[in-house]
Amino acid sequence: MNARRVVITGLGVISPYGIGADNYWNNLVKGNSAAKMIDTFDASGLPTQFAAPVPLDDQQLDHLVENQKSTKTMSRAIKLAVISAQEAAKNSGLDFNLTDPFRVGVSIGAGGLGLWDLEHSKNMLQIVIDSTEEENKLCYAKVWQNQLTRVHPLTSLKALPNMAAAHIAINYNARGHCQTITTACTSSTQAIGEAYRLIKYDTADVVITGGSDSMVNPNGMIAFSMLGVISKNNAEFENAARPFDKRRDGFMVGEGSVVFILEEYEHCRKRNGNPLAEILGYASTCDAYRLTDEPAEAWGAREAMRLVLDEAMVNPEEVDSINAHGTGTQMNDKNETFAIKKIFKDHAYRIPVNSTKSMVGHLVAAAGAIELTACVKSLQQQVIHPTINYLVPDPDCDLDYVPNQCRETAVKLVLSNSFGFGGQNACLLIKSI
Amino acid sequence: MTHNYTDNKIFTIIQDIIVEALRIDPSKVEPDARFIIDLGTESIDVLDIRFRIEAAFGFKISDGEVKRHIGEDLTAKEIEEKFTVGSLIDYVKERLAEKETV
Repeated sequence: MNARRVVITGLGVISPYGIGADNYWNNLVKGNSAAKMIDTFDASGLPTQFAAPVPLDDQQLDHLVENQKSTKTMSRAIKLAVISAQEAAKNSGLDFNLTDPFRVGVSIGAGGLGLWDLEHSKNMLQIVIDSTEEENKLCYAKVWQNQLTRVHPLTSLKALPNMAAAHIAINYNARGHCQTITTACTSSTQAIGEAYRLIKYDTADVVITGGSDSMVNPNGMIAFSMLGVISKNNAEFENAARPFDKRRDGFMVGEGSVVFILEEYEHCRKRNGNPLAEILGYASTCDAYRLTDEPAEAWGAREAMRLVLDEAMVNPEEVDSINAHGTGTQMNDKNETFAIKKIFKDHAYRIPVNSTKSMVGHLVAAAGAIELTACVKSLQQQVIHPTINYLVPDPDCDLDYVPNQCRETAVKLVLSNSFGFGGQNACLLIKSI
Repeated sequence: MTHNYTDNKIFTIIQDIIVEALRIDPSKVEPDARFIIDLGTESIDVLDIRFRIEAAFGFKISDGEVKRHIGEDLTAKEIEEKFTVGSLIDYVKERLAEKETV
């Protein structure tokens, strides 16, 4: 039996630049930074006061959701996922009514942090303020009682990590395997990779997959600040996200969602679908080392890259470009460079290695998906977007990072890397079709 | 102390709540409209409407209370038929009248 091939046939994007895949790509190739000073809440007391949020408020997002009633059960991240799924489903041209619903799956990378959305945080703080007794002493019993009457009963549905996938499944009658992957920065890469496996190993013919996250809120910014992983360069916020640059001091938090439609190749061909790219391989490993530190030997990252090349039966020399995890932390960029050199050897110096995070920041659970989008576009347009804000080389990061200007070049095979807290490592390899 | 809600006011508040919770056209909110059969109400919508009614009128609705108001020992199908906008309006009016006698 011939091996089943997996192609991407639909794409929907909400990025820090706004709505749409073309809008996203056009900004990437121009090297436009999506960084802005945070204006949705008062961040003046925080060490990091800038980010790359989606430039649409909650009301604007609500209006874009086709099933209006469902918005009351959606966190901001879920809304982003549902809206990008709408675009992906539409431009795939796939008629879900003509597809066996039990052969349509869903696989979404999610953070499940709906309770960190700004409105809920504000509501909770007001409840706490209103739950004090004499001498301003907090009465916890009152806090819990006040929650019962003042927190909407459906709030918990916004917090469950699997709700984005559930909404998407409902919207497209996807009755097959439905899963949610929450593995920090590798969530959507793994979701897409597992979706690829569902089709490859004949569990599904179509999988709606991708990722979404929304952490440009007080709790998200505080969480990353306390871990010391985000840039504090407020004075130069537009240039602060500088992966592989010697001056880098952490990543910029981004926000957004990407959903792909993955389809078995013959299924696509029979309906005269238009494949955008083919997925050749996926691999996932765990460092099993520490929660946030990466081992200097980068054994997990190296093995993930080795495995994905092995699965695709591709030699390292055949890879035309690498979309790095490239966060802009001192540790990741150095370790990732080391890992790439170990796997690709001399060829590492010939492969362009770019970082999407230099422009849109780190979309966390959606990072892998938005970066794979850049890879797909690279294959379609034969252009590699730049790593911007790269001015001062670092001897420990000595590869070709496509500094500051995009590059027109033949691109047939692209590797996308994602590495996450918990020692997660995930890679996808895609090729033009 | 009597409550200040006219019948029209009660209807308007409930109509607004249903429109907001179910995202339907106000014209669909008629006394005979059955929540589940006609207005597509799901179980989470019932929770939502209950929460909004409690906030709007200032009384608590305990679990199963509205169902008991509609009728005891009803089958699921009978409840679907009898759980109408009108039954909810009647329930709210009863509760407001109870409040005024306290």
